[in-house]
Amino acid sequence: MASAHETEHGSGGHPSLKQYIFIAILLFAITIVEFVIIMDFPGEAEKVISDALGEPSTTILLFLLSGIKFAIVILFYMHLKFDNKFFFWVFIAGMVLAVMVGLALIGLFTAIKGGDLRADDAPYVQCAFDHGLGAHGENVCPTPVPQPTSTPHPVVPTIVYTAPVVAAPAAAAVADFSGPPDAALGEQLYVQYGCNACHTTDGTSLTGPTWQGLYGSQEELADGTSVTVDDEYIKESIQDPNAKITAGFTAGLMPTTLGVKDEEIPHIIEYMKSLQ
Amino acid sequence: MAHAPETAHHSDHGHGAHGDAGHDEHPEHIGHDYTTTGLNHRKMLMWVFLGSDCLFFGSLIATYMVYRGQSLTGPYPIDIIDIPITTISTFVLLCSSFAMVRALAATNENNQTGIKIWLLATAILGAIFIGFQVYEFNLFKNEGLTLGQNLFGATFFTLTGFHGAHVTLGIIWLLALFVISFKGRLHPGTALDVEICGLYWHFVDIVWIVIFTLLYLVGGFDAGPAVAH
Repeated sequence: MASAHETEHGSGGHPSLKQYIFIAILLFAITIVEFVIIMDFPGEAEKVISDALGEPSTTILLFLLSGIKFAIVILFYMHLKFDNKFFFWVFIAGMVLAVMVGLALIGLFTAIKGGDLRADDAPYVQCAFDHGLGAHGENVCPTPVPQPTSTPHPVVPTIVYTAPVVAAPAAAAVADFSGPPDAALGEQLYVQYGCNACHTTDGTSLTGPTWQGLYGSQEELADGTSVTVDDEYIKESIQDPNAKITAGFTAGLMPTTLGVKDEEIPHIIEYMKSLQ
Repeated sequence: MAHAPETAHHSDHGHGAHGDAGHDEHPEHIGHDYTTTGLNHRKMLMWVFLGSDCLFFGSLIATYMVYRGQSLTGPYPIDIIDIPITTISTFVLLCSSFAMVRALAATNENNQTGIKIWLLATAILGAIFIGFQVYEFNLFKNEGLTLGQNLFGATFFTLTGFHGAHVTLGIIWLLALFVISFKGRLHPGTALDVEICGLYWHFVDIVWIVIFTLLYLVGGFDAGPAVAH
């Protein structure tokens, strides 16, 4: 390296060609080690290391090795070891901030309910925004909200919560669900519980699968299996919506607190049957 | 190019003064640009930029980590991530960093042939890396992974795509220096021009070191949810 390029700090200038070649070989070697650790080679390096150091050790080892590579490049290739310390700290400041932003983001998304912010939380979060939760977190949602019966609720992509409309006392008194399954009653329930926010009856796919042609069909599930849509399946899907998720749809979006009663379900199924 | 490079590179913060195009006409009476830190402004600017670029990539990497393993539909990383191929492209990028170091050394030694060879080698190795990435993106697309397919696709393509854009910009920068070198404008007096480009190039390399570890070595075996609960 040209002597003219030495720093004023007299720390020895840049590495020589020989040293640079050594550094390059070192970087290659570390990458090969990482590769060997990860791939199941005949030597089963991963297994050997895991047995020796415990299960999460492979990940920690990989972080360590890539950290070494990172340090070698910034210290030697980018001359931070030899250059003015000010440059070093300017860069390190940015790196530290980046790590903190990263940790803050990860924390932000895992803080709610002490676990991952999963889609099941979304209705409650949205509900809290809309209606507020009780002082002790008791579920004041669903709150009765006047809802037009003719037009479907506007659907916000992905995270949508429609407060189920609790049946007005007068209507509940009139409706009798004890009789034989009735598609008209089912349609009434379809609107009353806000099913129409996510499930269309015209074949359009919104947040949830359309009900048109659903009954009796074969549905492919997210876990690769498939299921026939029968009474049993529909009942389960209403009462435990996350038990089976149709392929292409997101778990956790359907509220589990709808409160659909057992005697109401046959009417809803009858309504579905009529939507062929 | 009336140049007197000897006047200007006694210290690391002085020799960059000639790199500014406007100074070429009157090099004699410019020894040092006065700066309050005593450090060259352009080099400082690059380091500040790289520090802030850490935040840019840090946020994208954090977003990937937040949504890691949250995809509910495939393809999942284990279905399509090809570690051997990516290890090769990682090698290529590491080689390019070595070539970049040689280009700067050649500039400091005023080795005109070396400058051209190593700059071009760096750019070509960078282009090969991009070639690997184009191949990989295309393969993933054919396997059904797109930006909008699932959380994995969205975070993977955004992160690696922005890295690829950085590499592409670096290649353009290197080729610009390569062209300039034919006019004899790269020599010890303008070594800072090459050094700053090198800083950027090595930074892109270290970002890839992190991405390779997190997205391929550690995250490459992630599968989808065992059973949707």
